[in-house]
Amino acid sequence: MDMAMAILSVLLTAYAGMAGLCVAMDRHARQLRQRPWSLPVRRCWQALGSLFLGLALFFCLRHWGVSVGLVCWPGFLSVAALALVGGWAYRPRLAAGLALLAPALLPGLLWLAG
Amino acid sequence: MTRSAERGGSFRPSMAWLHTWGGLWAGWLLFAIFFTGTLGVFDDAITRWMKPEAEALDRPLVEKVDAVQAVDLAEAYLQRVAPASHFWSIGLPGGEDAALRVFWQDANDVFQQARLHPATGAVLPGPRVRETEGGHHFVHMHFEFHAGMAGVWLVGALTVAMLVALLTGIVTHKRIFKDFFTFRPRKGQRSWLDAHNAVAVLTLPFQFMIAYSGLVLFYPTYLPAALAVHYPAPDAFFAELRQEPPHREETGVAAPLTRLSPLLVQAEAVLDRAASFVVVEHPGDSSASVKVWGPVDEGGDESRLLPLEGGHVLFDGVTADVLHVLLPRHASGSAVITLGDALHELHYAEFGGYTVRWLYFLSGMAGAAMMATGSLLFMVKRRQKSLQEFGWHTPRVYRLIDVLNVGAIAGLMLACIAFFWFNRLLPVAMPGRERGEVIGFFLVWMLAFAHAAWRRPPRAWTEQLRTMALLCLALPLLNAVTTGDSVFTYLRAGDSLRAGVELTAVALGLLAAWAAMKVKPPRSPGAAP
Repeated sequence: MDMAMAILSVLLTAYAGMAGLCVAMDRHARQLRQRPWSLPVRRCWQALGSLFLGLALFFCLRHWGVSVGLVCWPGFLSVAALALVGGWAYRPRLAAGLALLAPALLPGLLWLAG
Repeated sequence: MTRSAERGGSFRPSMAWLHTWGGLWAGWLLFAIFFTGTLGVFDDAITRWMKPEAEALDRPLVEKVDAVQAVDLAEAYLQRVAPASHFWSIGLPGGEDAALRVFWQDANDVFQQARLHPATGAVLPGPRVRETEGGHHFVHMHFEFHAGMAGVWLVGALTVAMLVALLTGIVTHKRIFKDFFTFRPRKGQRSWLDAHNAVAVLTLPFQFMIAYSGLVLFYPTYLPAALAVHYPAPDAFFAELRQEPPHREETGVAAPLTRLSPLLVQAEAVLDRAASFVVVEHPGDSSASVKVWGPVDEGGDESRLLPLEGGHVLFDGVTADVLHVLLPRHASGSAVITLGDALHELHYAEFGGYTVRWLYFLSGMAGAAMMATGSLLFMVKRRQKSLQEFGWHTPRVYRLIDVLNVGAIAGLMLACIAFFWFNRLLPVAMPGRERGEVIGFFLVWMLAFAHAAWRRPPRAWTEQLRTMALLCLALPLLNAVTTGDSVFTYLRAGDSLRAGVELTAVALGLLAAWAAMKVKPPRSPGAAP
């Protein structure tokens, strides 16, 4: 169960991080709303995205330790990014919405990771 | 074949040329390497599925195994059967087999083995487990194509080609960051290029790591000159690196082998754990040595990259002096060894349990998809408009590339699932069964090329993908008919490995069925046979 929670935490945060970086880009912003973001908003999305990628790294290190955690992290990022790209291509709104799961569940996930 | 615009000029076009042509010629075999290597991530699970009779082996034969008695019995057996052998190995009961196992090299240097009763020494009837390479077949395919050293060299050359293709691909990809999250479906050539870019860019760290570590693992083979100049034999180099006494050459001087069981007792005291193997080199020679191995910690620690060794004690086989000790859970040797071990672990995914294996499986499949989409893209682009690279031979070369695409991609996947079918369909007692399965695999693969040459491309694709889907989806049925087991009986018995194999096969079957539906029917009249 511990392991399942760790995997879920990493996948959700990695997915949210990738989604943050994705939505910051003009092309993908236009798929959700008609206009691109202003520069400060764009920077905010990028910062948020990076923050969640960092959180994914935190969960990796927390559960798998430094040596294995550092190897798992890019692996999870790849899987999360592939899922995001696949989803975004067909249902951009749904794919973006799924990214909200991570911030919504974050306090619980952090509490479980102790 | 070079267009003048691509030959001269700047850096990027020439890299694009190298990526296109290098990727094309290396891509077919690289796809095979990646697809089989990725299945090989689950070699243990596949082997377990392919040996449905394996349970019969771990049923204990005696209430409590007396290791000293067992080693005495094994030694007596080996002295009787193979006194002049160069190599003996004794596997103590435990793990997957409750029998006492003895292995030796016979007079023709062929390995032989027998299973003995641990309390009586009586030879047990031959393994009723079907002979199969199991998941190792896929592992062997991906580093040597079952072709020995020639295969190892071929795979090495292809791996270098892959590293070149990755680098030139990055140079060629002008909008690597702008297109980072881009996939535009249902747009023909555009979609194929997007897919090729997405699977490659998003898993790039893995692709570099797996290719590079695979290449480095074979450094004594690929770069032998330094070792050959400085060391009498590669063994001497590794012994020095591992800070162990060098391998002792046979002297030809006869000397009686010391009794093995006292060495076992001594080693178990030093290692502070029950031994798993006793290995004797050159029994009966004055250079004889005995190595007692402790078992590796099963399941170990998921947060460790490097494995925890079970330890070993090396004895002189005549005087019984201790020559070397490696305590369990200690790293062996120098920093070079540690670095080598780390690359080894990274490539073999032997750390972090099944989480890491699934990450490797998904990333490996993405790598295979990268090669497949690249090969397809080559022809998708040229089917729109021939680039006439081969003058008036061009249509024939394009046809050849089409055939190779179908056979190397759909055909290989078909052969892989057919291998599972051969495992269940060939008679259990068939002599040379192990080879039979592998021959069957290659036969199906070759037939797939013939089929691709006979049918027009879209037909060939759909037919092979449909066959693959059918074989994958019907695998549980075949298993139920031949062994009476199914995903449900496996799960009820807590056998997630075997259940996982079938569920993964079904998932891949659904993917193949979906892909078969996606292949467009032939557009131009007369294209279909």
